[in-house]
Amino acid sequence: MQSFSRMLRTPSIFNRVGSSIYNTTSTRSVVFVRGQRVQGLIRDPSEILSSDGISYGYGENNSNILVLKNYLESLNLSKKLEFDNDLLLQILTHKSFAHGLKPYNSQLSFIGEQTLQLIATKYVLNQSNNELTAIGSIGHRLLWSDKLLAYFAQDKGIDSVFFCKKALPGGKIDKLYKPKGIYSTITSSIIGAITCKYGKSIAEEFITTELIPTFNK
Amino acid sequence: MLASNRSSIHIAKRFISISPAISKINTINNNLNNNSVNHKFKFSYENAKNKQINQNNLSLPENKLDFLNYNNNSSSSSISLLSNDEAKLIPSIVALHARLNLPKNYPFNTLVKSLTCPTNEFSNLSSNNQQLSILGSHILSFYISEYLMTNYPRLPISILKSAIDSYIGDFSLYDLAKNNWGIEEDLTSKLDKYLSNEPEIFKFGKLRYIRKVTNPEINVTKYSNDQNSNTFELSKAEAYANSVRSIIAGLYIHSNNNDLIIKNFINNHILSRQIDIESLFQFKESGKLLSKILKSNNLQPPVVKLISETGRLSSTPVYVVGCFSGENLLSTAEGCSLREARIKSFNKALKAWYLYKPLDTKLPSDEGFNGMFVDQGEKFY
Repeated sequence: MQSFSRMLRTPSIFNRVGSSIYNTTSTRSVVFVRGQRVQGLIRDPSEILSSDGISYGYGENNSNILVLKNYLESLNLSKKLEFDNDLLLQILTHKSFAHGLKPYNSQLSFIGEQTLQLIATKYVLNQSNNELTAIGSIGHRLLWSDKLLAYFAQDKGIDSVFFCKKALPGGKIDKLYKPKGIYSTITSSIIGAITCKYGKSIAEEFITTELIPTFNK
Repeated sequence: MLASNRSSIHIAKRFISISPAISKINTINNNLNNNSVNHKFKFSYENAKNKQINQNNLSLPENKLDFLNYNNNSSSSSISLLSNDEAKLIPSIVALHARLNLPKNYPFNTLVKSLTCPTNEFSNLSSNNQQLSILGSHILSFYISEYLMTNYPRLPISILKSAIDSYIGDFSLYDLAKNNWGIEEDLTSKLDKYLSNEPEIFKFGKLRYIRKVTNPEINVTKYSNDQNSNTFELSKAEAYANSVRSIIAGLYIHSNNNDLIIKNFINNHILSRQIDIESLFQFKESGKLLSKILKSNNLQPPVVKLISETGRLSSTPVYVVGCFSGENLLSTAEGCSLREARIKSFNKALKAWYLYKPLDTKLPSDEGFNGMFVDQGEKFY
């Protein structure tokens, strides 16, 4: 507890920032806590940077991103999809993981959702011979629902490694618990990544030839 | 056409905070004061996209994803809108067609349908603009999102959504439809129409909707003998915005899904309106946030240095400070006190970071697109 009380006396970052004006200096010592949380103490980064017992990073021999990489490279689209390892890891990291310290997928997921909604609407229109009958129906709205997007990730096995924080009591680990709202961002981020790197037309091809046929199963 | 200068358009500021305590307090205060922002808040463009239609008139197939077999049961029994030849006789429709420079193959009766919001008379989906507006809002949402994300890739999601809403939200589209496109709303009663001997088809040339009455006049009781009538009530802004969305959806359908025509139309009418994105930012604890951003990018922590000053002992001193990271000058700012100047310099440095704009960008829907900058996510805590 001695180090904890020393930590409490540590000046705020504002003092350090304005040091040239106020001319104050400070030193800081930090103690990390492992195991059960203690309010006010900082947890060991190696514990924070893991999800379901898997440490953050590419993993040994890129094992963490290998499934997603192989899946994307196996797709038979008009362009072969090749992504950097960093981008693949970003796709597999949710905003909730480690307080957003690591690159996460919210921007990719956002543009992916917008693309999916437009392409899905276009798809519905084409399927019903340019008639608006099914637009706004439950079936139309299902095409970008969390349930089906999470199902797609599960079906392709790309959700086996996903860095996120699950709200389980006491920080318990449960690999089978996969909240749809969080796991759906894997699929929407893939669409977002394709849109950002290869453009709308390839993303459209991915959605119409790969994603929606899986839903139809 | 500065949208931010118009009194009718209100652009809500989004708070960027790294302290969870502050955002909670802020949300609570907002809820107590004006109910403006809470965790369930949805922008008007999001509501327009996610609107669900009344499926009572539809016969649905067993497989909900079999879109070919969706049928509208009441299309034959319902009141149909005008034919294209009849619509050509309405002066306001012909004028609107010409004013918007719509292609020749864009039928006049699609414009009539776009201006017809669901009412008791036109409750059938095939005769009102409900589905067209949903399609239009998806089209608008994608093209505005890709424009903003390509040109301002580091915008936090909350600011990004605010910016999208200020382009295609209800109030912005209402302003566009009313003040730029000159769409008129039909405010006359049936009795007025009868007394003025107005031709029957002329009523189709104006925006028709059931107006939502939220605040009836004093000593006036809102009376409705039809319980279902409330389902069709729309606010003025929503009705106008839906007409714009529907016109764009009509253009999409009649141009055979030609992206280029749609993009040109959106560029000319919507993206040409200037939105001051910088004014959407409002920082809390900007020094902490800047320190966090610099640390995560392996840069030295911010240091504020006094560059010049004048009148320190007067009633109106001016201090000019610079915010440095190592030897790099991030921003300069001036203020009446050292504290004000310091905070302003942090804010300017943060805005310079968030409003980063790559040069010569191509949109994902452009030909020859070869990738865009992907942000790693906004920093918090």
